[in-house]
Amino acid sequence: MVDIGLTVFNGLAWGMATFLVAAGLTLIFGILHILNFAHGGFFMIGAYVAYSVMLAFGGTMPLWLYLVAAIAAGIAVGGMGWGVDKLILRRLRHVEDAYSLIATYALLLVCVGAVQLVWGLNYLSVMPPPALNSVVFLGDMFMPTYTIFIIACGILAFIGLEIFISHTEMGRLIRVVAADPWMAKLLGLNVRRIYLVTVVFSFALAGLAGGLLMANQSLSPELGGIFLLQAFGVVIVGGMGSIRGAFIAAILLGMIESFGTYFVPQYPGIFFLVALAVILLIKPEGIMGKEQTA
Amino acid sequence: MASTETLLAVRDLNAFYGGSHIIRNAAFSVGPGESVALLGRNGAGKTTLMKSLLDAGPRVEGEIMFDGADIAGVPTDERSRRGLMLVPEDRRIYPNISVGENIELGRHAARAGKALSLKDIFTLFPLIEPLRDRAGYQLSGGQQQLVAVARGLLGAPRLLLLDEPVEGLAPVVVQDMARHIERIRQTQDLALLIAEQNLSFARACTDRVVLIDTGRIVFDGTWEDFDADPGLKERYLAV
Repeated sequence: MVDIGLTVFNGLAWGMATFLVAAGLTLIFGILHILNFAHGGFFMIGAYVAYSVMLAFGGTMPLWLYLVAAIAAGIAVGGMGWGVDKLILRRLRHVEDAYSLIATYALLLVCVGAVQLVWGLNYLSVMPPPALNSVVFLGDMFMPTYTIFIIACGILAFIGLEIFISHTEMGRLIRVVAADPWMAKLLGLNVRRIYLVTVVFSFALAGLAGGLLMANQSLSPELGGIFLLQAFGVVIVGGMGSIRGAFIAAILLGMIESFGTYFVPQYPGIFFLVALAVILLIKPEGIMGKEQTA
Repeated sequence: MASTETLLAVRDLNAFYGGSHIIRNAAFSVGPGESVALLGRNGAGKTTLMKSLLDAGPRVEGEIMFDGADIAGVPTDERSRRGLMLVPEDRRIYPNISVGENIELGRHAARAGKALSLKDIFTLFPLIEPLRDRAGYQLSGGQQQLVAVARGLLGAPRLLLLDEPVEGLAPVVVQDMARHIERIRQTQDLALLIAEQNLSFARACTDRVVLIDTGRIVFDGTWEDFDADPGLKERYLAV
């Protein structure tokens, strides 16, 4: 029973960590229809920025400072999103998808190069803040508080995004532009500005995810690629562009990966890929299909 | 800045889709408060000409003066906010938001302090009020057309471009639409440019005719002038 509980807990942890990265990726695809390969790179930069903020405060930090560092990473990477939209993404809106893939992949390489230049090639590690560096016991089951924190962050990010997209004026305009940008322009909406807001928001989510998850892994220039594959899987299985779908897919794939590893521990990581292939064979459009926006 | 004689003046307008030259040296004008029919067969270039005025599709060369200013290089949304509003042929009602929300989107094109209220819209289009909370996808073709026109009107445009507003509608709905447009003309200070193939509808709603054929303006005059030359209808409108 304890094993099952722990397996569910690990599945949720995998799912919510991946959702934090996937949220911005699916948002930008849903609105701009650009598959942003560079997302993992900016997630990585977010983690390094938060790491630098932490170092600036002496290397150990209370929980509030850990959150401030993550938010600072979100703001910094959101600012980079502004520059990326102005310099690159704006030019890709009327060209074939292949150009977007090549350009955003090139941008990912730039991110990796920039991280190597600024922070070096060495592996860096970050301890969770003391308040999150303990365990909680539920009967015989123990749960690291940092992992509980990440699960809570994933759920809060999902609720926040749902409220933003469904219940705010900007969210409504984003849905309108996603559904029919041509008509939105004719109705006097400044579509370029709405695209810019979406890109900045999506990049800020990547940076924030990097900041929140930095204690979960070694920081290295390969970090971008590690989460990107999982995040792409979640976005594809969820239904390209659907935040709700990505959330459900993150939990589903997390559980499959976690239970797969529990029952067949000699093949960790393979169940995610098998599930991805099987789900797409059964439902190629993903769990939520192409969600209608407005 | 603003001219009182001509609201829209087009000169030497050429429009292209890729290498295809669709509109050739078009020139015409619309005065303030005037209602003009743009007639032509399918494929004559009516829709391309309308989209060209908003820079909403084809590549455009030539001069478009609107309200006394050359609007070449002005983005589509800014043209809308200056009072040039297009209601497209396929209506483009957003399916997953309500009729009321669809109409309210028109407010983004309003000039300062100029927008109509939803109440004004329901007075102009009493048929829409009961549909207010219905989702866009639940509307019939005729209802969609009314909502599209209402949405275009909400921002109180100076020139409303209607692209085939009665295409595919039942005859009784066409008559209804003509009555609505008549009411709009009586109550709102705006000019109309209506692209049509339905001659009787166009005649009921407009004062003047511009005839287009294979991308060229081939006639520009009053309905009396148009009727005086029966060959025009035969040459340029007969199927």
